[in-house]
Amino acid sequence: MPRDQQSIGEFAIEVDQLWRTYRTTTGTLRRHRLEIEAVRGISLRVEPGELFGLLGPNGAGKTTTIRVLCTLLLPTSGKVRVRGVDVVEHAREVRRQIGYVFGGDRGLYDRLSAIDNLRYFADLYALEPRRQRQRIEEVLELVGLEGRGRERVEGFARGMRQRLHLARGLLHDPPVLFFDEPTIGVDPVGAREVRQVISDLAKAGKTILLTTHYMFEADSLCDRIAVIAKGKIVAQGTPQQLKAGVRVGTVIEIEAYGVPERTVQRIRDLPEVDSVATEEREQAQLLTVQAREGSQLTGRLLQLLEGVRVERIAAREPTLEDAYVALVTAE
Amino acid sequence: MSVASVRQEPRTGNFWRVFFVGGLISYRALFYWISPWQYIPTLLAAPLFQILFFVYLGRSVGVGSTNFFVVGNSIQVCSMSGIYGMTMALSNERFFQTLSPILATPANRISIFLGRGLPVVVTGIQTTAFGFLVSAFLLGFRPAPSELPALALTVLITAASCTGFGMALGSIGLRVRDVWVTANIAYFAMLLLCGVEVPLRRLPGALQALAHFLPLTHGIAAARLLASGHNVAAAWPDIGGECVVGVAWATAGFLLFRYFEGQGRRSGAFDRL
Amino acid sequence: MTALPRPLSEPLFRAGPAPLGWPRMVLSGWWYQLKMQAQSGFTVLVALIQPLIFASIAMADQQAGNRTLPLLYYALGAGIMGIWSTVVFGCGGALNWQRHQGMLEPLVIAPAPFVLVLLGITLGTASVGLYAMAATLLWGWLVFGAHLHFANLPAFALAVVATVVALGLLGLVLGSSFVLYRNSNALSNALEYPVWLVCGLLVPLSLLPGWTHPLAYVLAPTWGVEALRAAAIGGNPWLPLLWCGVASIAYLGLGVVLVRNVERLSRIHATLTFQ
Repeated sequence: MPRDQQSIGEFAIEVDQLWRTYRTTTGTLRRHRLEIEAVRGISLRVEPGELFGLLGPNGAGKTTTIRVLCTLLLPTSGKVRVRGVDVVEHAREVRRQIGYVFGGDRGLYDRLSAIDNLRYFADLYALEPRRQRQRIEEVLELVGLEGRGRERVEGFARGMRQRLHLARGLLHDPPVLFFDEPTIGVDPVGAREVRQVISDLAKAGKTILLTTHYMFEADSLCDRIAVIAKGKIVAQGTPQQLKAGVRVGTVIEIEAYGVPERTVQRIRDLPEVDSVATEEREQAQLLTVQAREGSQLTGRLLQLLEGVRVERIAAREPTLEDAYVALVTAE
Repeated sequence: MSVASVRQEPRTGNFWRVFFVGGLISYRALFYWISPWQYIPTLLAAPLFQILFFVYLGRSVGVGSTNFFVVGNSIQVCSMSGIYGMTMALSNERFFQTLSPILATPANRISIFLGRGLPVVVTGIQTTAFGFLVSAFLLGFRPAPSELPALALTVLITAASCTGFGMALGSIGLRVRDVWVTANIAYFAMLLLCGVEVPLRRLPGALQALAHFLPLTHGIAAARLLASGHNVAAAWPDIGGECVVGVAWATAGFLLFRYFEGQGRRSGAFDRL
Repeated sequence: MTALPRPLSEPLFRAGPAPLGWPRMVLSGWWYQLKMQAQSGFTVLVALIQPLIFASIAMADQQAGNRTLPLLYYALGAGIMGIWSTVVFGCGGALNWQRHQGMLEPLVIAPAPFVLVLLGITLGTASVGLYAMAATLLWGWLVFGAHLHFANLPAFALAVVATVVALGLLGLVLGSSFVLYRNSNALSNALEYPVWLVCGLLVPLSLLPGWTHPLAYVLAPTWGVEALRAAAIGGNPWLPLLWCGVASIAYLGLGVVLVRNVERLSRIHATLTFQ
């Protein structure tokens, strides 16, 4: 398969009914076999040059999915192709055409300099030796680390490490890039820069798939989003489509102390109520009640909450975040 | 549960409880080798081959006898537990940052400290016994039967004195970051200096003198005498010497422990790696 | 930061079939691994304690005994003992260490054949053992007055390289099998003395029971130390060197199979990154 070309009409990434199950054993004396279904029948298509987001809470199956796409994991069943190449059959060919950037403090050799880290991988990617120095300078400049190349990575802050991860991912100029939670643990200014780079790369024609649990990040960056929860895609589309999918209604936020579970259930049972999400906030709880438009619920809610100390009760318009929360917390 | 119903144990009862139970629990939490996957290779297989290795070395160079190396190495291996095990028991507490909560309790310090030593001594004795056993099988090692009780006592005392030495190292590890380097150096230096593999008189005078301040030296000398059939009377000076060395190091370790505890209270240096 | 267009003048990738890039991949790994480990003075220091103590024990006993074998014999033996320790701990634990650093994912995702990646790592680790060799020789000369003469210096140099390469390849076998066990450290611990003993590092093979000899013949340290002693003290170094080479090839073959197995298993069981 020619490196830079791709047949017209083919997708950059194709996932068909991907299932991924983990078998683990627990216990020391009597070992039980546990089967955990991390990914349960995911299908998606990403066009060349698209910026696609996989959005979901922790444990939803995002990282497992991206690992399968990057050839790190084998699917339990299903077909996955990157640029038309099967990730199981031809892993090495896929690896030549992808870059994988993940967050965190690990993943770099602390005792080597930034340049040495890149040089090593330049050799592993079979970059032409005479071009390596120039290419390394290019990518360091691209990520804003020019001049810091000779410093040892152990002195790098999280944001700088993230940039070096990105530099390494771009070293061989792959047409497809995978980002796994690229802004996690990065300060707001650094995160904004990372997003800008991702956006620029997409504009330059790269196909990008990123995972995130930040709603606003997916919303602002991605051409299309797939919302994933408990191993399944629960919604897919452009940010506009997802917002349109949010049922127009009312959201009532209640901040209270010590709401008993049966009260929450009674609220849920009210006919106008679509869903109730509870969140613990230190000593108090935040109840987010999604209800149909026009329903006058406040009075009845206060009745149900009699005896409970209510700090605040307010109604507002729903946002994309509410839709997201409703999607990922639904059974 | 009302506050009034909680009674405090009498002081002596609490001492022994902390000593035995507390020591055992902390041993399980901290002694890395407790799992069979660790224990068998480290405390059984390695010592077995160590004994064989040095017995053959001795034969090759024509130094000592089979018994010389069997006794020397079998006893030496108890220092693995004594040094590394004890260093682990104390320093790992700092690593897991559980030191402050323990020192915040009113429990008697000596019982905390010594309680940790007991399981370590037992492990050391087990290791040595195993060494003697395999040597009996594989190398025909036959200690003089009449002196076996005295030999057993010597093993107990030597294991305890190595543990005392380990207590001193472990206490240093409460403050010093790289105590493992010191423990390593100490362990291997003792292999060279304490008459385990090299007859003591072959060492330069200064090193011989140093050896007398270290555990193992006297214990091994006593054990060699007993194994070859000498009377207990001949071995008493060395047995006594090993006792003194062990108690001295354990005391030093305890004093260091208390000193660092006081220092830690003043400077807040506990739990900082 | 803006995305730069790629210059059209020079191609980014090496031209020609893939295997052309393989030597460079291995050498690169070798170099950087060595650089990382050798730079830590602390690591080097700790790695020297054991070999020096064993060298001292052996040489002190030699002086106390019949002195049939020269001190250099023991200095070299202790040096190889040191290289073996480095290999059995460093290579055995190599994949676990890389996983701990979070490096397994980037290394596997690179299109380089993983066996070459691991080989670079194990060769680099084995090379660090040369510190032990140099230290025991120096120590033997300074403290015990060992005569450091080399009957055949070129053969000695060749033997050093051959030994490091052979042990690096044996490290490949160790690394790709130890990774399946969580407690690889304990396993490494248990394999120090047996190999030192069986390979005749401080004790001539003739003194050991005959049934251990086949085991010795398949282990590289046996031939490495033979070749080094022959080249230094006197004797024929070429036969041991030949066997060193044969063993190396066998280890490479076994390593390729084992690594392929490890790769397959890790993609199935997700043990690359999950602790």
